[in-house]
Amino acid sequence: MSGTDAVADAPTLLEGVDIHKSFGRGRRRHEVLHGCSIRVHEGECVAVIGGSGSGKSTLTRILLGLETPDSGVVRFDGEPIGSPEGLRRLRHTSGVVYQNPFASLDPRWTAYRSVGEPLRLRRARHQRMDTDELAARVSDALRLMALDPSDFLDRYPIDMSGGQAQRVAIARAIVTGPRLLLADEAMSAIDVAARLQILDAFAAVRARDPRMGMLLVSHDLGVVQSIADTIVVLHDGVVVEQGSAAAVLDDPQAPYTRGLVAAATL
Amino acid sequence: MNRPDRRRVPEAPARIAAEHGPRGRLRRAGVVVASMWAHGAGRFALVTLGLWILVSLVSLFWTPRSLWETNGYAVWAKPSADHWLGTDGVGADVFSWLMAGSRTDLVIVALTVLVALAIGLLLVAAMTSRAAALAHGSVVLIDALISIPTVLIALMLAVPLGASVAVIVLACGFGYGLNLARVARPSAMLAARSMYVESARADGASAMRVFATHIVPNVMPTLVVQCSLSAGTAVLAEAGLTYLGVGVPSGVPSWGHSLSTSVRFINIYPLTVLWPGLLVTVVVVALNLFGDALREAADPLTNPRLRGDDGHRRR
Amino acid sequence: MGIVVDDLQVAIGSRPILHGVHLEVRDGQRVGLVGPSGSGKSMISRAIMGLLPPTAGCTGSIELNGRQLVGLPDAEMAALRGAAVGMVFQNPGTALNPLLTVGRQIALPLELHYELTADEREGRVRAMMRKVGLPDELYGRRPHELSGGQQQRVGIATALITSPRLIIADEPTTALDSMTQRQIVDLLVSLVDEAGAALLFITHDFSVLARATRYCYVLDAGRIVERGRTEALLEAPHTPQARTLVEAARRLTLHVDGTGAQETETEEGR
Repeated sequence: MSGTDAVADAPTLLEGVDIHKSFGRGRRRHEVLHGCSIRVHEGECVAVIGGSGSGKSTLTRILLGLETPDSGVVRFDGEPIGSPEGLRRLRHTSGVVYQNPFASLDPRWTAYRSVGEPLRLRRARHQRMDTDELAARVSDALRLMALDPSDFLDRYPIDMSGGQAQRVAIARAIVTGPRLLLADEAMSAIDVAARLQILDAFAAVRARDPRMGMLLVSHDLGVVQSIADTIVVLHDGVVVEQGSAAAVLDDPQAPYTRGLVAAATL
Repeated sequence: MNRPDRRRVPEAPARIAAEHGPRGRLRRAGVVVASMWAHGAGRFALVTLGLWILVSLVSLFWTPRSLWETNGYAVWAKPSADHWLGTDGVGADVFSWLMAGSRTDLVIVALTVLVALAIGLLLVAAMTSRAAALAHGSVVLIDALISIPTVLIALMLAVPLGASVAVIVLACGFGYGLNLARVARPSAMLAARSMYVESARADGASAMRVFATHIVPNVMPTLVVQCSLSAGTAVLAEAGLTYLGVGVPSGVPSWGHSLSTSVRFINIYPLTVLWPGLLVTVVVVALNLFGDALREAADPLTNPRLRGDDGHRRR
Repeated sequence: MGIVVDDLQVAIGSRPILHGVHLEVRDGQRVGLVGPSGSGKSMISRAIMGLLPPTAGCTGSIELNGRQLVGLPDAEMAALRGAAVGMVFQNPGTALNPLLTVGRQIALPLELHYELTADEREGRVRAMMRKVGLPDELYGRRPHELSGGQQQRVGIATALITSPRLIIADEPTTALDSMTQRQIVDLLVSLVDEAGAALLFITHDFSVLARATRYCYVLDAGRIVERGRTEALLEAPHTPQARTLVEAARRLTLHVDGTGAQETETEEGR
C-alpha cells in the first residue's frame, strides 16, 4: 500500500541492532542468532520469514523483551528495552498475537474478559474505568474484527472456530490502540478460508491506526505478500536478505530466498 | 458458520456489564446449583450436605433429649419412641448426641479445608513462581514433609495443645494442604507455562495477578475434587484421632466421640456403633460426590449452561 | 478395487457430523477431500480407519476392496489398519511415539502384521528410509532429534512400509513450513504412484490439492457439496463453499511476475 520510501521516512518504532543469542552451556552451547539487525518504522509492516530453526521465534521473543540477548540492543521508541522504563513502555504500547489462539486465550475466560484485560491492566495505573465503558471499548474492538459483540462478548474459546478465536486474540492485542503489533505465525494454525478473515482483520486495524507499526513472523509467503511492506529473510540465525516486499518476492537474491519463493508457488 | 443467536439482545455491552456484577454472579451460582441438582449423585450430595448444615444449626437450640440427661435404668436401649436411635452406655440419647456431634464435625471439616486450601495455594504459588530456587525448593519441601504421617503430627501437636479441635484442624489441614499442592502441580505448571500466561505477562500483568486470575481458576477443578476428598478424610480423621484421645475432648459431642465411646461394646450392642458409622459413611460419600458434581457444574468448559447458551451454541 | 464410501452418516451423541457422504477412490487414483475446519473431513478418515470415538454412531457403507467395513468387529478392523490402509497424520510431532527410535517406529506395522525375522525387518525399514529420503544414520534417533519435515517422512514411511492399497493423508502438510510442504507433497505423490496405490488427501488448502490430486470432493458441514477434476474446480468452482476455498487459496498463494514461477495459473479474478 504505502510506498516503501514514505515508510523509510517515518520515525523508527522498534529496532534491534546486532543481536546475538546462544542457548545451552559448555560444549552444548550453540549460537542461534549471529548478529541480526531489524527495524520497524511507524506505519510499516515488516515480515520476518524463515523456516523452522531459523531463529525467528527467538528473535521475536528478544524484540518483545521476553528474552535477553547475549549482546546487541533492542530499542523501542528510542529507549533501550533493557531499562525498566523502556520495557514498561514497550509492554504498554504493543500488542502480540500468537500462533494458536486456543493456547493464547485462557480457556476459562470469556471474550469480554480476555479482550478487556489489557484495558484493565492499564486502568490500574491511571484512572478508574466503569464496566459500561470497558464493555463498549471491547465491543468496538470486536466489531473491528467483524465479530458481532452481542454474540461474542460472553463466548468462551471452546465455542469459537479457529478463525473466530484468532480474531478475538487480535482484538485483545489491539484494544488499547497499540503503537506496535506483533503477529507470531498468527495464521499458520488457522485454516485457509479463515486466514482471509484474519488478513482482513489486520487490514482493518492498519486502516484504523495508520501509524501503527507491525511485525509479522511467518513462513507463508502468500500471507506475507498480501500484507507486508518490507521483508526480512532469516536463515540459520543470519539475515540473508531484506528489502521491500515486491523486490524480495519478485527478484530474490539470496539462494535461500529463491528456494522459498520457488517452493511457495506450489 | 454461526447459527443465528436466538437470544440476541440489542444492548450487548450493558448486558455484559450486568453479567459481571453481583447479580450475574448470583445467577451463575444458581446455574451451578441447578446443574448439580440435575444429576442423581449431585442431588444426593446437595441434600445430604444441606441436611448436615440444617441439623447442625437446629442442634444449637434443640435436640430431642438433653445431652446430659442420662438414665441408669435404660442403658443400651433399643430404638423406641423415646429414644429414636436408642441409648448408649450411660443411658444418654444416641440421636441427640449425633445431632450435636454434626456441628462439631461441620466446623472441623470447614476449618480443615480452609487451612488445607490456604497451604495448598501458597505452595502452588511457590511452585509456579518464576524464581527457580523457590519453585524447586518448594517441590523438595513438599516431598519431604508429605512423608510425615498425619497421626504423628497430631500426636506432636497434642503435647502443647492437648486434645482439641485445633489439633485435628491443624494436623489434617497441614497434611491435606501438602497433598493438594502435589496433586495440583501438573495443571498448575501447565497453566503457568501456557501462552495465555505469557501473553498476560507481555501485557504487563503482575505475577500476583497472573496467579490469581489465570493459574488459580485453571487449577480450581483439580482443587475442588481434592478438597472434597480431604473433607471426607477429615471426618474420618476426626473419628480416628478422637478415638486415640488427641482429637475432640471428651464431653464435647462429635461423631468420633459417639463412635469411640461405644466401639468397645460392638460385640454386645452393635447398633450404637452402627448409627455413627453409617452416618460417617454417608457423609463421606456425599462429600466425595459433591466435589465431583461441583467440578463438573462450576467449570465453564464442562458445563455449557455456564457458557450462556444452554449448550446450543456451536461453532 | 479401492475404497467406496456410500451414504455415510456419523453422529456423535445426538449431534450429526456427516449427512450421507459419498466418495470413492480407485486403485492408482489420487483424490482430494477439501473443506474448512469443522466440516467433518477428519471424521471421514476416522470412519474409514474404524477410529471413531466410542460415542459416535455410524451408518452407511464403507467398502474397502469389496469388503464392508461398517459394523466390522474391532479385532478385524485392527488387522486392516496399517496393513490394508496406511495413514499419515497432520502433526508428526505428536503422531510419533517419543520413546521409539525411527527404526522401531517404521517397523511397527511390520511387527504387527507380518512374521519377519529381525534382520528382514531391519532391511525393509532401511530400504524404506532411503525411499522417503531419510539418511541412514537417523535409524537409531528419536523423534525429538528430527526436524518437522523429517518427522513427517518417518510418518510417511510408517504408513507405506506394509505396502497398503489405500493411503489416507490427513492434512499431512499443515504443520510444516511452505518449503517442506512442497517436498512432502511431491514425495507422497511419487511413492503412491510408484506403488499404484490409492490416495485420499485431506486438506483445507486448495493450493496443495492442485499439486497432489487429479480429482477432488468439497466437503462442507458434513455434506459433499461439489466434486470434479481438481483443475476444473480451481478454474471454475460452482458452489459458494467451493468458491470461498478457491478464493482463499488464490489470494493466499504467492504471485510473482519475475523469475522463478510459471505455475501461478490460478491468477485471475473470479
